[in-house]
Parts: sequence; structure tokens; C-alpha cells
Amino acid sequence: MSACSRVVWGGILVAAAGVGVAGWSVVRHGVSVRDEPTAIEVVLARWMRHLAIPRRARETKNPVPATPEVLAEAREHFADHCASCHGNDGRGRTEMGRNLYPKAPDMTLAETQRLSDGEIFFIVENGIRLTGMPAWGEGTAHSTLESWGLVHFIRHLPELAPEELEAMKEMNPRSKHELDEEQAERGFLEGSAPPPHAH
Amino acid sequence: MRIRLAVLTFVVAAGMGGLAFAHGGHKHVMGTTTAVDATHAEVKTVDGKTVSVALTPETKYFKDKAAATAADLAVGLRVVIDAETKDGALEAAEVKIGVAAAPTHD
Repeated sequence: MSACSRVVWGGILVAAAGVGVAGWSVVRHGVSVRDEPTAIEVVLARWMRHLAIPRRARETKNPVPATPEVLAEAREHFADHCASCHGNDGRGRTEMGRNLYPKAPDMTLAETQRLSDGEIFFIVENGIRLTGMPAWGEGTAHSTLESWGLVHFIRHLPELAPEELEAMKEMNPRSKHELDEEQAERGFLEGSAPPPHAH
Repeated sequence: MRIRLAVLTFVVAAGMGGLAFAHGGHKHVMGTTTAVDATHAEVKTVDGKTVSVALTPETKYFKDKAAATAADLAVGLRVVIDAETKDGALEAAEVKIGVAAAPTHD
């Protein structure tokens, strides 16, 4: 056997051992979406996402000006449609966001902020396969403008003011139970509900 | 290209293998502050328990629906804290500060 063949067979054996260890690990521990993606998955997924966005789309500039009105509309839209997973502050610290696989990203960080406007728009419109990110685009002029507005709002996330966050809470979709809970909290903070007492 | 993309996405999906469990959850802590310092607050909850919540530089504060600061948090105030469980401990994401609690007679 030549030296070259030995190297190839050695590589095959190492790969087979790796697959065996991974398989044993899956059988023993199962697979949960609570896990953090491995480094190789992160690299592959980002590469896949990059490939999935056509170059022309990546290079598209935001045609919508970032006016206060556009930002306000996008903020309301984000609170209503996106915050369930991403959170009002875009950090993904929600029950849904942190239990997805991969977890909803912290969009205030460079990994999202360094994406081009076109890339963010494409992701909003088309979603990302094998993640929890759906395609929101409806193909209408109105939804296209809304998605470009969201691009501006996502850029604004790192500087989101506490007042904006508080206003967004009123725009989040809520169940009757959550509305009742909010009312109880408000009453408690304002002093109308009984104070804590020792049992 | 589409077939290659589908194969690659399958490979990514099949590569799941990390085993580090990240347990997280949100918790609302409603009560009166009994101790406050720069890094934590102790809250006597409405059911009489005392809960310790870590305060971090990322913690946001609100009073009367307006932004407040850590300096507004003091002992004896009604609070509602939106906390996250991290490594078994509670970390405040948001603290809503209310009125001072009336004195209690235990």
C-alpha cells in the first residue's frame, strides 16, 4: 500500500470514527432544539444563507428613505409581526426565539448589522430555510415597502430608546390572559392592588 | 443550483450534534423591594417569598411608562420585574417601578 493510499484510508477511518461517535451521542442523548448549533453548523448555515441570496439582491440599496414616519410604521409592524420571536428589542430573548433551532439572533450585533440592506430585505421577504424565519413577502408593492421599512428599523435596533420599547409593548399581539395580567400589574404598581404580605 | 442547495441544506440539517443544553425561561416577579444594590435586588413577592434578581448593565428601568434608571430603584417600592433564568439564577431584563408600598404589620 502506497503512502498516499494510507493517508486516504486513514482519513476515511477518522471520518467513520467521527460519524460513529456522533451517532452514538445522538442515540444516547437524543436531539433537542435546545442545543446550541455547533461551530461547523454555524459556518455552513451562514454560507448557505449567503448562497441563497442572489448577488443582485445582495447589492440592492434601500429605495425607501428613513423618515421618522417610515421608522414609526416599521416599529409598529415589527412589534406586531416580528417581536413574538425576535423581541421588541431584536435581541431574540423571547420564549419562541430562544427555543428555536437555531435561536433567533441578537440582531443588534454585528452578525446581522453587517449584512447589506439587500440581504436583510431578501431574508425578510423570503425567509431562511431550516430555521424559524418565515417568508413575509407577499409580492405586492405595499408589502415590499413594508419590508424595506423593516430594514431601516432593524438598522435602528442598536439605538432603540427605552420609550420606543415601552410604546411597542402596546402594539404586541396579546391574548386576553396577557391583557388581564398587564392590568393586574398596572394596578399593583399604581397601588390599587394589595401589597405583598407575609404568610 | 436548486438541487445543490437542497442537498446542502439537508447536510446542514443532518449535522445537528451539539449537546449543550440551554435552559431558559421568563419569569415575572411582582412584589416590594426589600434590598437593592448595584448588582441585585431582593423582592418580597405577593405570595410572601423573597426572590433575588440580578441587575445588569443591560437591565432596563421604567417608571410611569417612561424610561427610568437604576438610581430610581430603592427599597420599599412596588416592582414588576421581567427576569430571565440564566444558570438557575434570575437576571432582570426589565424593571417596572411603582409606588412605595404601604407599611405592613406582620
